[in-house]
Amino acid sequence: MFTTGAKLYLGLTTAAIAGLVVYGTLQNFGALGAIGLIFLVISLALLSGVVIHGRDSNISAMDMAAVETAPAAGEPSLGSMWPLVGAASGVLMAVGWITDQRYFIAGLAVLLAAILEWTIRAWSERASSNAAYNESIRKRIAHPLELPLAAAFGLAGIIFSFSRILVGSSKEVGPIVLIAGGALVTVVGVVVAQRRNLSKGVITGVCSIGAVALLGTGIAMAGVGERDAFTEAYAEKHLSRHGEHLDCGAEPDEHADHKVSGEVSSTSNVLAEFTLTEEGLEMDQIAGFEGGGVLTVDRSNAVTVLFHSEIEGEHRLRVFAGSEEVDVNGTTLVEETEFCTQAIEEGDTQALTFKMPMPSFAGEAGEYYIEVPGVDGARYEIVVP
Amino acid sequence: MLALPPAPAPAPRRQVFTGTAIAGAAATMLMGGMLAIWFRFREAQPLIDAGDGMVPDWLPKGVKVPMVPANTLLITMFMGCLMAQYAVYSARRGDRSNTAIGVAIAGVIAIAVVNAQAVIWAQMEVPIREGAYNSMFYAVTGTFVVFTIVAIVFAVVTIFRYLGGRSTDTELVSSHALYWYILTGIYCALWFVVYVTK
Repeated sequence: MFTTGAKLYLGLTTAAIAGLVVYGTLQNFGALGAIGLIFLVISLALLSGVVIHGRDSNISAMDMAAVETAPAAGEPSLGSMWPLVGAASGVLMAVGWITDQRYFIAGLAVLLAAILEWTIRAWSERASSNAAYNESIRKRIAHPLELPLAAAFGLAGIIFSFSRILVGSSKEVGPIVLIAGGALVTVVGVVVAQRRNLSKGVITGVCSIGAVALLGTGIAMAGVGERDAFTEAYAEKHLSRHGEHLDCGAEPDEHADHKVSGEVSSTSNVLAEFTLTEEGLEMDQIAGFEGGGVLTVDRSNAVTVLFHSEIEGEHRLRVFAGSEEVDVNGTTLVEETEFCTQAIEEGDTQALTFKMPMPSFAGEAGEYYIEVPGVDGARYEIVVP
Repeated sequence: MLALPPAPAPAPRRQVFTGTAIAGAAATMLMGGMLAIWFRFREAQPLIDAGDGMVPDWLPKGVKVPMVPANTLLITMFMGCLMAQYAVYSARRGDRSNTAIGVAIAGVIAIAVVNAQAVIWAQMEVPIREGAYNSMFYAVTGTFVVFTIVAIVFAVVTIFRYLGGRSTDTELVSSHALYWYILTGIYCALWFVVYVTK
């Protein structure tokens, strides 16, 4: 009546129960051991039940449907890379969990792709006894997903590799690398075109070697990092949004105030004109509330003012638009909102476009102002109704 | 030249069903071990007067277990079992659409279970790094959520295979139901230890 497996598991279950009773008697059912043994009994009882129900997991020869669909009745499975890819993505997720969430997200995406591909392959391998047909239906289902994604990832890989190579090389070497790469592609293309009987395998091999070489070089160059000029430019925010890199102090900046444009289009729509003379900063507000020695600016509207310098030296116009406290990783920092022109020389003009984010009543009286840093008294209050 | 006859085909086995049972036994042992350690930590706490007797000083002050979502989750688990078993019933009768509906609803219920657990986490607001209770609470409930996510994946794979042409493969649908029974058993133990006896 009982199969061999059933006898084994029932015996184990009985032994676990006996162990629980003995342990409970001797140790007064201490929590750690007793709970563990109780769950061991439950687990073994579960396996006993399954083994008895499934007759040692054997399928009855009379159950034709089950016999035909049992995994053992199918063709042996072919080798698949997806379990390996899934395991690697798990490692990537674990690393990303600790280091950088981008790696975690990438690992998760690869894991989902591996699960999907593995499922499709497992399904297709059991579609029929003909391996070629099985492969054809796998392609029919998977290729509409695989090919666009492979193309997208391939393109991203090429762009990534070229960008790392170019930003890592010096200004002189970069063009040479591009010319050499283009020439190599052309030469290989000519050779392939002239040999008409070249096998598919050779072309695939050449392309694969090229792709691996390009990607490998790109990854290696990513490890080397960008050339010093880029690092310095990042540090000084040259590549950030317009105006953010400017130091609005009185002293001209080596890079930001280099080769300054001193002219403005006559069609510029300006709110006011500021002229710096020996007597100080003069303001002429063209629209809005004039007089009173204040500049009136609408809230949250982008406005433009003109700045002329008629004194010797390099000067800039600066707008202070308030400050606010921001929480950066638990630390409260005061972040100032300011705008400024580049430092211009005598006789030059620059336009400054800015936006006042908060009304005057949100800050202290006279908090917002426009000034020429380094020139005493060259300041006007800004009123934001 | 004489050749030996080919070897007989390997005997078919219920590999998926048995594999699910073994994985389920492993999951049960894992949760059992965690709950045993839970009890061990709780017993090690000093006793305090709770009004109706002395109890271990285990639950952090200010933390209240929301029994409504915890009980709802328990009932939901049984609903999941019902739907999984409904899929088995339909599969044995070759009813493809109802099999798919049963498994799909079980999958949606598993998503609801994850959501209910998230609600419990949000309502309890237990800091993760402030003591043994906090660490054990998230370890135990987090492990259960992982098991539930496996149930979601199991449902997706089952639907894919069943609707993809394996309509005679009732073993997979039965395995899916077995996993739901094991998952429900695990949650019953978790519910009693973590949410009821606290």
